[in-house]
Amino acid sequence: MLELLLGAGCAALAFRRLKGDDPRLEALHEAHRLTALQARMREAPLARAFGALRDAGIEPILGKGWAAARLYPATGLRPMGDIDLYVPEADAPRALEALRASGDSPVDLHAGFAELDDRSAAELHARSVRLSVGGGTVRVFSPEDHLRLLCLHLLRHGAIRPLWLVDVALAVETRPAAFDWGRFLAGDPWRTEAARHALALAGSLLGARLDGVPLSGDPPRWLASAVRREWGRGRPPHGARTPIAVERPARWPRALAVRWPNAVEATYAIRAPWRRVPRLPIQLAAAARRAAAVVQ
Amino acid sequence: MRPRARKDGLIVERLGGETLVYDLERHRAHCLNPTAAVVWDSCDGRSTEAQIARRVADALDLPDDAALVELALARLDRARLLDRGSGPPRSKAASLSRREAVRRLGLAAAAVPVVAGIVAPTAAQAATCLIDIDTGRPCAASQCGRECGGPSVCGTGAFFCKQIGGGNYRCVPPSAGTCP
Repeated sequence: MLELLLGAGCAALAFRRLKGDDPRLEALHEAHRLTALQARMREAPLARAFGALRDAGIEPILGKGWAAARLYPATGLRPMGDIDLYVPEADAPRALEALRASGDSPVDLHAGFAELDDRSAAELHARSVRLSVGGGTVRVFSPEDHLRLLCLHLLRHGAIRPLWLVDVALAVETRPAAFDWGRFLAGDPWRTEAARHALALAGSLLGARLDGVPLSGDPPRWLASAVRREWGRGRPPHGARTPIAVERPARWPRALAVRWPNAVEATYAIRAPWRRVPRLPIQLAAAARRAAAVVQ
Repeated sequence: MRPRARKDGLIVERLGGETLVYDLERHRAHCLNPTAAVVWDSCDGRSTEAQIARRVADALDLPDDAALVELALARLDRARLLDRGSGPPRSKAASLSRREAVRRLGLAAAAVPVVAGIVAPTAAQAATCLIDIDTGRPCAASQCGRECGGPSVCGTGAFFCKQIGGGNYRCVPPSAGTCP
């Protein structure tokens, strides 16, 4: 259980809930301390990255990790890795240059708006929000856009990290009174349906309060069990995105096992219907597409 | 002796009753319990050990004890959290075990000043930094072509840190591609 919590990035949350002097909790406590320090340590690189991009005439938008962590009720509850910055695709080469020139920053630069690319860059910028961080300012997505991003990112990566669903639950529960569901639901209808299922998942698996949330009926029956199964496996995050060591055939079976798409990511990858169709053919199709990409 | 807390190159975060300190020069993280934290906060370069002891006694309702401050300073100095030369002369106090300190100072264990190193649990690292699977760990596209590795370098698309020998890694693009 301890390993699962640590691997899932939920150790600090678990420590907050359990607290106490039991020595078995020390690893969770240590993770909580580290996460708190990490959050503070991210502030300088965050300000540096925004400064470098603004000097280059680019205004990025921050999403996921840091932007999600600020929604948690206390500091140090959500671990964060890199800094996810989104810029319009046309600005990406200049942005990359600017970041390189500014030195090492743990920035994951997104060329375009990934799961939100069914909205225009101008629209996303106009709605985004400025926040103060460590003496500077950063720009984050509007609550509506960010919640949609969190929902879709979760599903796109097979909901493999429980933490991502916690992000969704918190973003729903801490939404401002003026939250515009129309904005959240606008865009590609298939993605909208997916985002609604992610919200329902946060309700059914984490008990998120969903009063006033426009769900589209119960989520597909296979969804929650697929996610539970995935969490129980404790798979390394992003295994599918790590390149295969083609020159080492002995490692192929393990590599393929790591990359076998779960039902959620397979459905997302090939934009399959969320209901009615069995998942296995969808997973086979997604695996075939992934293998073809590796061969290319 | 008027000890002075080091300010440069440190990141400090207060969490509950603890003070967490990350040393950007030595890449070490420390956790100070309330006793050590009050002593550290009192090291302003003007206060003497006796004055610091009074402050600790007031703040934490402990006996006014110079030996307790001496122990805290020794531990802070060993962790390089005092300005060079402003700390106490080297003594064996820094390496006293908690049990020995409790016995010598006649205090409850919780009151003994502690400056503990924070150790990253392996799986917790995996939670934020993606873990090795085949050939290396992921890195940021902006680092492509440069050396990478270490806990701050993690978490993006298909770029990854490839081992280039001698324990060094370089950020390379996915499957024989070129850096952007």
